[in-house]
Amino acid sequence: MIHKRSKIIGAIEIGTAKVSVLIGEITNGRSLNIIGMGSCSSSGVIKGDVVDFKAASDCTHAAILSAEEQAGVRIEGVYLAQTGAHLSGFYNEAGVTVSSADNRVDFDDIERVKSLAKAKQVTEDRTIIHHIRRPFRLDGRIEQNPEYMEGKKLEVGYWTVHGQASKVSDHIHIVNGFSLHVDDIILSSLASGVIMSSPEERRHGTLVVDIGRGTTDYALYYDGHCYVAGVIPIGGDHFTNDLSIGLRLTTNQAEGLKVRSGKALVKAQDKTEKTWLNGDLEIGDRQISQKAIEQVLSARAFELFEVLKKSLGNHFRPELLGSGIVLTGGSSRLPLMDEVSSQVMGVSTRIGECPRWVMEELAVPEFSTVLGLLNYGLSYHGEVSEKTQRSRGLLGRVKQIFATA
Amino acid sequence: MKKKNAHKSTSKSPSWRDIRQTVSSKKITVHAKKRFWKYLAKTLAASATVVGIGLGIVYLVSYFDSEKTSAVSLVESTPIEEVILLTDGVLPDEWITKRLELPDGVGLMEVDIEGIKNRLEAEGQVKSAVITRDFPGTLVVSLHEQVPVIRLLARSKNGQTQMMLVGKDGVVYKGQGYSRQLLRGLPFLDGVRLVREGNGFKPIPGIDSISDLLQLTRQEAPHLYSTWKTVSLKDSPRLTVKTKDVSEIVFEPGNFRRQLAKLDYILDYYRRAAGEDMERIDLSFRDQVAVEVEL
Repeated sequence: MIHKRSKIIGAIEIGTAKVSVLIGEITNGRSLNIIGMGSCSSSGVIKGDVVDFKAASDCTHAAILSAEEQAGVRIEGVYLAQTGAHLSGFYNEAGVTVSSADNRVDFDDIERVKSLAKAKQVTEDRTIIHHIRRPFRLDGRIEQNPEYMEGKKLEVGYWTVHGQASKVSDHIHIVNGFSLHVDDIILSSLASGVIMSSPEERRHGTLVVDIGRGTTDYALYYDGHCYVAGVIPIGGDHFTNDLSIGLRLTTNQAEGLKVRSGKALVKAQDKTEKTWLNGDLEIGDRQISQKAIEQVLSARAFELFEVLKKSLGNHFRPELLGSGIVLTGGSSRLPLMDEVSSQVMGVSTRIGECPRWVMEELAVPEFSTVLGLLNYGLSYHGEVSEKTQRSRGLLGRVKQIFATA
Repeated sequence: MKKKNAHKSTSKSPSWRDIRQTVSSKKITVHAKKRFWKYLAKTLAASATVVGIGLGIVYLVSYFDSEKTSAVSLVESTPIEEVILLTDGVLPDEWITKRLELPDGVGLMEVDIEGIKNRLEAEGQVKSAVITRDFPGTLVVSLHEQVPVIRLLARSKNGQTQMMLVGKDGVVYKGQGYSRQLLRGLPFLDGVRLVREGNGFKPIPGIDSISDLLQLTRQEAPHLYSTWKTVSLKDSPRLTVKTKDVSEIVFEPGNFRRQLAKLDYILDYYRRAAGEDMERIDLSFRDQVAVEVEL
């Protein structure tokens, strides 16, 4: 039963492995109930990019329809996760001198510095997904909200995530094809980051790495703020491909072998240690060296984190990552992936766990992104609801009279 | 507020929000089509329900506003399924049906029952008619007929003589459906002047007295009644009867039983004693009877 004072929101992730859809009901702007879930194996999507619009639309629409039927509601707008190898980011910062005579920062100073920091242009074929703001610095001091504080120089920086306009457009139009409006686009890494890490962990510093089938999304948090977010074009499919090529297996065999016997680190000591290829002991089944499997997968795992480290560049400062690294995403289930991460990144790593309020069926890494989208929607509508409630006060009503006059 | 907008305008980088979101009417997947048709069907069903409820409310309001009228209009459309003809007399069904003048397929409420009643009662033989609508589709016609007391010969406008019957209340009418035997047994009325009224005649006064005499005679002395030829009102209120055996028998109104008894005694006596024909018997003297004998 839908509550009278509720808002229905939808979240969609069009991933390389699967399309996930969740429908949530936000009641009184505070609590979120997940009332519908749809999932469909993805097609027409490679490394997060749509390569077959019709096929991608087909599976996406099937997942949305399934979720709507389960929820028994018709959604109008959705939050859409965005990933893909085409995404990249840059950092830009700006500083202004505090304008008031008493050196107190006012609203205009804040808006001016924010505007300048976001002013860096991207090329025409690119479109901006997010401006992720870092904390303000007032005379070098980090401040959450510098308004009314005393200082001479106000600085702020933005990590700007941008992507290829046509590819972003493809994702949007797939959703539009189901007569739905995209209310907001959220970077997959940001969405999964807020679910797989707690506010305390983000305040102490953490790196959330979402290893999907086609890509790996990451979000780096210091002081409770996201400093860097990005995508590297390596995912679970690369591990499968490596096994397929290295051991001369079909893709399906390699995928099965990876799931059943794969490890991200070489632990097998003896070359004679074998594992069955298919495990069904039928004709065609044969034994494969476990060490060989681990060697292939390990090489790719090490490479993944090396690329990640390189991608983070100077922004990656292990000494500031008090809460370590959190791995999530379907491919993070490869055993010993956390150990590889620890070895390469030099920071303790753990496999992420969903918060306790998440129901058991959804408490798996595959759903972390869509859960994050719903969480984002809850935060957004909570703020809107709070503002609306505030404006309902006596002053708010008087203001409304003047506003409408 | 103006300053805010000014700051925002400095950022000219294209955002994903600049991408035009087009919710196309063309659904490229079966799921989108299914959702669209489902939504359309639901919308149509909801609209139909709303319209239905609206019409229902309008109907109920109009129904309660003019309950009487609408009740009539409901049955107006019901055609007559059966006509039941009831009579306490001898009128044949065909005769009655002809006078109902019901068009084919006429609705029960469309029947002019007052018109039918007037038409039937205009015929002298029908004393009264009751027309009843028995819903949903039956028309009941009940007739109360005249009982003929006496008959007379009247001359019509074209000069032809026709036999008419007279009821107890003096109504003169053409008899329909009576047996020949019954008609032959009725004496003729004499000594009255018929006055035309419309296509018929005005009722004749004094017939009730004749009716009482004839009825009593028929019951008490049928052997006398069978010989009576005419009853005359020429000396009204006294009644003069002409029989096969006696040229004139005079009765005074009232106490016909006593007069009949005297008459029967006198006739018996004279037949046995003298065997002479009697010219006149006057029973109108209280204690005496005047008898004229044909010599």
